[in-house]
Amino acid sequence: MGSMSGFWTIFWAKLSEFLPNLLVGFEVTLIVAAGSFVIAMSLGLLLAIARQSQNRWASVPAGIYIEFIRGTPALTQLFIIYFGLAQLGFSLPGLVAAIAGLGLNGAAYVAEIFRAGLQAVPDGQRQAAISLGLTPYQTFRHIRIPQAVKLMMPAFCNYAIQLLKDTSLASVVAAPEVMFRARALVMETYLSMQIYVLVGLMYLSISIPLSILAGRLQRRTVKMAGAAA
Amino acid sequence: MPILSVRGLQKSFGNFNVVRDVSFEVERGQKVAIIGPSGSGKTTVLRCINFLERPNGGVIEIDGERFGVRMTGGSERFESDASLAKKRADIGFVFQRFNLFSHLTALDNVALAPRLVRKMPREQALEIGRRMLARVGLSGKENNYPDALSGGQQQRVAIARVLAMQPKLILFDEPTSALDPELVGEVLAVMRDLANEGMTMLVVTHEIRFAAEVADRIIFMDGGQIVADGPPRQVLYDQPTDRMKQFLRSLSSDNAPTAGAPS
Repeated sequence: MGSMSGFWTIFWAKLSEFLPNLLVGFEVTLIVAAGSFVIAMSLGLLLAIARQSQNRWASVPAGIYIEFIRGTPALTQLFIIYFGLAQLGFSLPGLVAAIAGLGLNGAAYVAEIFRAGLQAVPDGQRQAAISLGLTPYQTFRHIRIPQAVKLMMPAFCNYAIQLLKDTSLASVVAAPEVMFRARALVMETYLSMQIYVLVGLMYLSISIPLSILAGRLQRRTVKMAGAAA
Repeated sequence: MPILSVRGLQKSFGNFNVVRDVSFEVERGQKVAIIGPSGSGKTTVLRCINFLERPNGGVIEIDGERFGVRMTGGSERFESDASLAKKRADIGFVFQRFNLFSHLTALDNVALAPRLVRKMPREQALEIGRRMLARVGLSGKENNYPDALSGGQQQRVAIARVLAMQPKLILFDEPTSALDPELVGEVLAVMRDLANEGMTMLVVTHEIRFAAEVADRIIFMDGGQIVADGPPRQVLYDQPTDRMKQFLRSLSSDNAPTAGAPS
């Protein structure tokens, strides 16, 4: 009991000192998350298209890329980009390596979300579109993608939550995000519990709303699928 | 010149020959019904005509123009997707399950292809959309999404969507089979209007009574082949084959063409 009340006493006493410092780090966390999200989404869409292509020169490399990424830890990939490239003479700043690494990693997962979403659009929609004279590209752009994106929204929210948490990996390549700063702060103060709990609350402030949103979208999608059946 | 000419059409799925050597023609303004037991290949014939399925053999000509195959340097090649798309735009296809675009309103469903394929300005496409919806009796439903329409209304939107492209020919694939019985009439009424306006129609259907009344010709298919092709009276009553009699008996008495047919 004594140690517990001691925890809170210190927690509240030090909050105003730690919070501004950690918030600066959390801003970097959000930048890493947003940057890699954009890369993952755009590259993921291209990968999904390549994967489904009739052209083997597109589909096979895309398949290999996706399998490689999904079969190796994100941390290993990050080390290859940060330390491995540095050894070859391309040293990237930690922040850039983190955004690139998490983006390249996320693209494989996003590609799978796109693939599943596109497969979930009934084939009758494609048939109706081409029977009206739409080209395959117009069918993709105006019929299949808009419908697939609706179906994919919950999965994208869940991916965003996963990505937000994965940004903590960036701390090991010295990107000054929130976990990096927290560790530095712990080394100064030895208040591991207070500091890491505070960091956890910061992640939750973003992930809980995202999780609620994913739940709502999920229910809406189920309703949509029910109405279509 | 016939508007549609099918010669020696063949289609197989795996080892199963669904369509074996089917040939027929449709003249401009003609209404032709294809009837036959399920599995007889009638839907596949229809889907091969606009290359929703690639035939394994045979020739499809629309307005005298070879469809789906291009001659280059004396050898036949499959036509490119873009070139196929251009030709498909002139052939309407009405699906059994409507296949309205579920993310678009009724009006946008109808206006989409004129805009994208005919490159019409948005306002003009919407105007045509409104006119076509009125033509199938759906004024006032412009802003409804498909899931807020009954099956009969959805199928009428699907017909309006096809009409907006001013097709040379409309293919109907069992357009009333997925409908509740009380909704069949409204769709058949729209099709009857089209027939009276001189639209060229090729209709795969189980509605024998409708076929007998509206069609100029009935094609009876069985086992992937055409067994009979002629005026309804001749095919259904005057010279029915044994297979035809059996088929007519298998239909519900409610739908059968003659009141006296034993069921």
